[in-house]
This record gives sequence, C-alpha cells and structure tokens, in this order.
Amino acid sequence: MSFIKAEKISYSYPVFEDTDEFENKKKTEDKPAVDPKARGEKALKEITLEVKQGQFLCILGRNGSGKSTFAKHLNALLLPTEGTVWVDDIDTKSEEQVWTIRKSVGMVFQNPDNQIIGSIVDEDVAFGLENLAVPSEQIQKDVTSALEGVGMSDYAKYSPNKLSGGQKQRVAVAGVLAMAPKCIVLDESTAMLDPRGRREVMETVKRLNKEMGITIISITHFMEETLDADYIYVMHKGKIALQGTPKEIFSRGTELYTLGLWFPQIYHLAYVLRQKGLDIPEDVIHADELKQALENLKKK
Amino acid sequence: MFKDITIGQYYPSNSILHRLDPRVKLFGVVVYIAAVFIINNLIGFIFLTIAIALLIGMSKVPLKHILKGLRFVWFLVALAIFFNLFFSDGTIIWRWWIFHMSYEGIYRAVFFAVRLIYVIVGASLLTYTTTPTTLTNGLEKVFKPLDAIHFPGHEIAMMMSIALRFIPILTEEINKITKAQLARGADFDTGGLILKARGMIPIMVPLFVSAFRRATELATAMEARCYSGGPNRTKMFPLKYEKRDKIAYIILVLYLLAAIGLRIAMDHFLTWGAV
Amino acid sequence: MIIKLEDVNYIYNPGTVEEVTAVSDANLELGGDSFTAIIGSTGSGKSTLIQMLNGLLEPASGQITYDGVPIYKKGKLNKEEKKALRQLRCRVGLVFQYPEYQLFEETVLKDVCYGPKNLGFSKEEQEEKARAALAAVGASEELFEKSPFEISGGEKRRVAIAGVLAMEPEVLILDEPTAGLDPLGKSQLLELLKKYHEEKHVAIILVSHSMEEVAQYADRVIAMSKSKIVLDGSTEDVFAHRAELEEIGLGVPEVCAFTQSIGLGDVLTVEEAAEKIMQVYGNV
Repeated sequence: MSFIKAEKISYSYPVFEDTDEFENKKKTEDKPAVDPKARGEKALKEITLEVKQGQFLCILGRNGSGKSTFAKHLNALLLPTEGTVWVDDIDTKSEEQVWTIRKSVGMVFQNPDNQIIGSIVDEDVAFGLENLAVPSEQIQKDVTSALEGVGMSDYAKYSPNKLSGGQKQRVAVAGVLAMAPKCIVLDESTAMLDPRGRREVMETVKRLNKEMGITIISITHFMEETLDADYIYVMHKGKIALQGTPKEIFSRGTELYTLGLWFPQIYHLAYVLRQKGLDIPEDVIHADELKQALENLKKK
Repeated sequence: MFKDITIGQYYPSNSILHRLDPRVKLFGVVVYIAAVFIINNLIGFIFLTIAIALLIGMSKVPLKHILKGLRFVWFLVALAIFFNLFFSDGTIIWRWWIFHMSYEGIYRAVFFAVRLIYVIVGASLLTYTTTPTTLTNGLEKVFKPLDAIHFPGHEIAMMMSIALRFIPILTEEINKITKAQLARGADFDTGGLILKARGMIPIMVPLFVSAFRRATELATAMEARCYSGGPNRTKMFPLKYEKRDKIAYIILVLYLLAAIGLRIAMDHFLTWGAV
Repeated sequence: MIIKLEDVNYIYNPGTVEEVTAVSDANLELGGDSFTAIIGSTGSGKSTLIQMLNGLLEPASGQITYDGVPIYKKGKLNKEEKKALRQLRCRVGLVFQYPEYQLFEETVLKDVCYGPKNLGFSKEEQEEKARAALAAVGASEELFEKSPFEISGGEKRRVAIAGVLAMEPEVLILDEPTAGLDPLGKSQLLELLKKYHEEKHVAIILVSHSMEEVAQYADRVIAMSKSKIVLDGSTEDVFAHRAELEEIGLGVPEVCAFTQSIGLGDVLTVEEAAEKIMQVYGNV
C-alpha cells in the first residue's frame, strides 16, 4: 500500500511586493527565501506520485527544478497551495497531526553544519526525542541504538566540529533515526562530501532501508547513487518529466541530456557499444551485467 | 584569531567538579566571587587561597592550563597594579614627577591584582569543568521560576547553546571569506581608518548573507525535528541533584558564612592588614 | 608561469598540542601549459597546498618560486614586498570552494570589477576586463546589472569565477568548482574551463572529488593523502595505481575499473573504453 501519496500538488512561493502582502508574511511563518525564478511562477506544478512503504526512491533533476521544494512537502515543512499530500493517510494540512507526520518522515539536509543543533553528538541525536517529550530513560536508549544504527557509537561524546563531513551526516541520520521514522528524506545530503563520505552515508541509508524497512527518498545529482533505486522520478521545471525504474529511466537515451541528467558511466559505455553495433541489451546498467553481456557475445 | 583563547573552553575530565550539578557550580561561583570581595585582609586571603587551590586540585585541570588561559588578562592585571601602585594617596614613601607610592597604594595594588586573578580563575573553573550545553541547561533551570513573569529562560538558553556551536563555524567562515577576497587582490592593511572600514564591506556582506542562510537552514532543520519551543520538552540527561550536590551546597553556604564572619571579626578585633 | 615548490611544509598551530602537519615535503613543479588535477580526501592537505601556491599561506619551511623568483624573505615584508605579494595573488588566481559566497557588490558587473579595481586599473579598464571575464564564463549581458543575490545558483558560481578571471591570472586554481551543481551544469562549467585553458594558454589546477571529471579533463594528476603527495604523473599513469588510490579513499573512474576487471587495462573515458572493447569484441 502507499505510504506517501501526493495528488496534483502545486506550490508557489509567496511573493511579498506590497504592504498588504507584507502583512500576510507575518501569518505564514518560516517560508524559505524566494528564488527569483520562482517569483510569481509555480515552483511545483500538479505533481502526483506515490511512495510505497520500504521503497528506495530517487528524485533527480536540475538545480532549481523544484526537488527540494517538493521534499519539504513530504513532512509538512511546506503545504501545497493546491492538491493534497497524504503521509500514512494523514493529510499534511491537518495541523494537529503535524508532529506525527514529522516524526514519521525525517529529513537530512545538504549542509551538515546547518542541521546539527547540539554541541555534543549524543545531545544532538536526542534533540528530536526531547522535542517529542519522550521520557529521559527512553531517550538514552533510543539515542544509543540510533548511533549504533549509523555506526557512530564511538563518537557519542564528541563535538560535531571534530567530525568529518560523512560522519556529521551520519549523525544527522542518527538524529532522524532516533525518532523511529518510517521514511527518511535525503535532500542532497551527499553533495558536500568527498567520495569516502558519500559512500559512508549511502551505505548507511541503504542498510537502514534493507534491514529496518525504512523508506528512503533520496534527492541527488550523483547518477551512480540511483542505480540501486527501486524507482526514480525526474523533475523538470516543477513537473515530473520522467518516472520509472533506473533501467527504464536510463534507457531513455539522449532525452536525459535535455533534462540536465547524465548517464552513469557503465550505462554510457553500454550505450556507446550498442551504437557501435555490439549486441548489448538495453537494460544494462551495472558493471557485472555488462560483463555478462560481453561474455554472452563471446559465446555466440 | 579566536582559536588561541583557552580561557573558558571546556577541559574534558571526570573529576568531582565536572560531575557536580551545573546549578551548584553557578551558585558556587556567586558565593566565591562574593567571598573574594568580602574578604579584605591577609588571613582572609590565605583562607581563599586554600579554597581555590583545593578546587583546582579537585577539578583535575592542570594548573599550567589555567595559567595559560590567564595570559589574556595579565595586561589588565598589570594596568591595575600600575595605577594603584603609583597613584594612590596615603603615607607617601616615594615620589617622582607625577608618580607617588604609598603603603596604602602597595596594599591596594596587591589586593586588587589578587582579587582580579582570583575572580577570573574561579569563574573559568566553572567553564573548564562544565560543557556549554550543561551550563545552558543549568541556566535554563535556574531561570525556570521566572517563567511566571514570562522571562524567556528556555529561549535564552537555546540561543546561548546555538551561539556557542556556531562561533567556531562562523570564525572559520570569516577566515574563508577574507582569504577569498585576498585572492582577489584585496588590501586590508593599508589606508586610513575610513578606508579600512570600507575595505571590510567585502567581508561583512558575504558574512551576513551566509549567517542568514545558515539561520534559515537551521530553523528548517529544527522544525523538521519537531522543535516547537520551550514547554513540554524533556531532556536526555535531566538535571537531578545527587547527594554530592547537596553536600556541596552546604559547604558553600558554610564557606560564605565563614567569609562574612572572618571579615566582621577582623574589622572588629584587628587593625593590621586591613585595606 | 612555472611555480616550483621545494621541500615545502606547512604546519597548523605550531608548538601547541593541536599541532597538525597539513603539507609535508612537497616537491612540485606546476603551471606552464598544463591542466593539472589535485585529488585526495577531505583533510589530505589539498586546500592548504593550493593556498600556499598563491601566497595566502606562507610555508613553514621550504621555498616556493614563481618563474624562479621567491616571494617570501626572512623577516617582515616591507610595503613594496606586500604589494608584490598582492599582485602575485592575482597572477595565480584562486577560486575557492563555493565561490558564490564571496559575492558582495550591488551588481554583478561591479562585483567582477573588484579584482581589477584592487589591481589599480582605471574604471574603463576594470569594466573591460570584467566584461571579458563574464563573457568567458558564458554569462549573458542581461545579468550584468542584476544583484548577485537574485540570480540562480549556477549563475552565481560562474559570476564568482569570472571575478577571478577578470584579474587575468597566468595560473588558475579552482577548488571543487563543480560541487553541488547538477550534471549538465558540471559539464558546461568544465567545458568552459577547458576552452579558456586552450584559448588563453592559462595553466589550470583543478581540485576535484570526481575521478570521472579528472580523467576526462586533466593531463596530469597529483594525489594527496595525509599531508603527503603520494602520486604525481600523467593521468594515465596515476589511474593505473588503482590499489593505492583506493587505499587513500579515492578510486578510479568506473569505466576504468570495468576495463581492468575484464582484462583490458586502464582507460580514462567511456569513449576509450568503448574503443578497447570494440577491438576485442568488435568482430566476434
């Protein structure tokens, strides 16, 4: 069954030009800065999608295509101006349920430094639980197991400033994990990391997905990170331009270029080989698949 | 720039002082500073010295570390000594040009310097033995009774802890922006005051922009983790008084009484050594 | 320009408990007409190294010379030497990571003028250089009078890079210029740099975390790990050391790993890999 459902959602960032609208600003609190391009234009246009419990989902698209705006709709940080988002059958517009929604859909953002609140690792991981008024003993237990879950137990008493980028992002994942979420949204969480840090974070969330059945929605620019995804949505100018399994998406060929995407290298290689006349199946994206395909050629 | 400042930076250890409740330590600092100013004679200072020596010993913070932290206040101490020593009136024992020395001046200079150093050592002992978070937790609790008059205790504590976390990050940021502008040929050294101030614009504008961006992102991240303000929050490690904290309170009260007693006794029965 | 490093060391917080050697015993000759990539994990010393290259950090020991001329002398620099150091920072242009965070002027054009202005050029010359630099990064005229804070992220990045190009450096160093950009933005930016390199004969030193990027654009690669230069050579030579690269948290481009796994040796790009594979499988 579907865990998250978005039906025809559109969103425009509020525009504050004259004094009347400035008054409104006070009421609608904490809206992010208006992207000039989005001024007056809709940042999201009639997006409909469905996420099943336990899926590993990727959202791709150019900078400014609306990915992050969409992500913020998944835990009621933003509310759609039109359409509805349901999380676990709860409409994100229902104010009294907002904490339930944010507890079940956690978010990890891009810049590790701007999302760690505590000055000691374990205190930061506890932050969400403290907000939810969980009893102290329970917090201590949950924090310990969340840190274990991301492999950061040894760093519980460290200052976040002493950690590497990948470690900081794992602490941020632990902070979300401690609240026992059903879904974790990664909003370009690996963009600022080096290859090692990126691997650390991706391996951690993949494990959480497999072992604990946590739904992962990953927004990324790194094509290699999407190869193991169950499903991919490609956004373009506030709309969903493409959707499908990785194989379906990458087999669209050069259409991807116009959407600002790139082929993962192995797929690219297979594509070029096909162009040169080799009989390689369309759906080859992993190295071992290409190896197999080449071996099959030899057998023939 | 700021990374040289050791004064007030937490020194990790597991001493009895580290483990004391932050509220006790806050109260302790108040008592201690009061005592430093109540005491006004030699015997009193011996009494004070024993106390601070005991505390430093208990804290397991190396004396060298504490003295190193003091190097920023030596200048202040020297200045205070200089003025007290050469400009105090009283029984003049030496005079040259506008400078004059008196017995009273010597006493005052010595006591003033000692007081200043003792206050700073005592207060820094608090921050050496208490993490910023624990300290803010303590302050939050101390301010709790003021909720009734809508004193924003939690908000102040939260602001303090976020500020403490971001000081190193923003310091780093200033460093980075400065270098980036230097790489574009900026000259922050030459020119008069006004020219120099104008030259800071390429650093200040990006710094503010970045601080606002960080603030917005942090606010979003806090909201995403269900932060909704002060009331109804719990703590992972709630402050709870242990037996040692109660004992510490009793000792502190006794100490304060002793300091006051000593002062009264000295003022009444002895005249030597009083300031 | 040739930048030569001899036994260069850099130490943070010397003489304290937090003493860290960031660069040790670096011996390099950089610049000329090459497109060099520096790779290494975070904290390997790359950033410190490139800051020494343009005189932002002074080595603790060893010497750096520019076309044979050293910039640092014993003791304090006098006014003339300070000026020379400032000019050097412009001859060796350095674009920091996320350079868009250094923008501060009211308009894009004014911001790009900042560098030439610091170099003492007249107003006309400043604008001329700024316009040329903005054209080189593909920024359209309509951006010139806009505030640098109201243009898109990708545009900001280009404008910031133009801010360094406007000083017409002889060597251009870029610290992860493509970080955070989408794939199309990345390749567009790299193509611009390649074109600039080829047309103006400006040496480029690129710090990057993307092995694919490095393999495609660089002709020389320097790999750093734990403050030391561990590999230095032509791109082919360096990527032939897969085991060493993996040990220091890096790796080789995916296609290279693939051709190695099927026994076809090292390649740098997809096209090269395809050619090698065609040679073997093309007439099966």
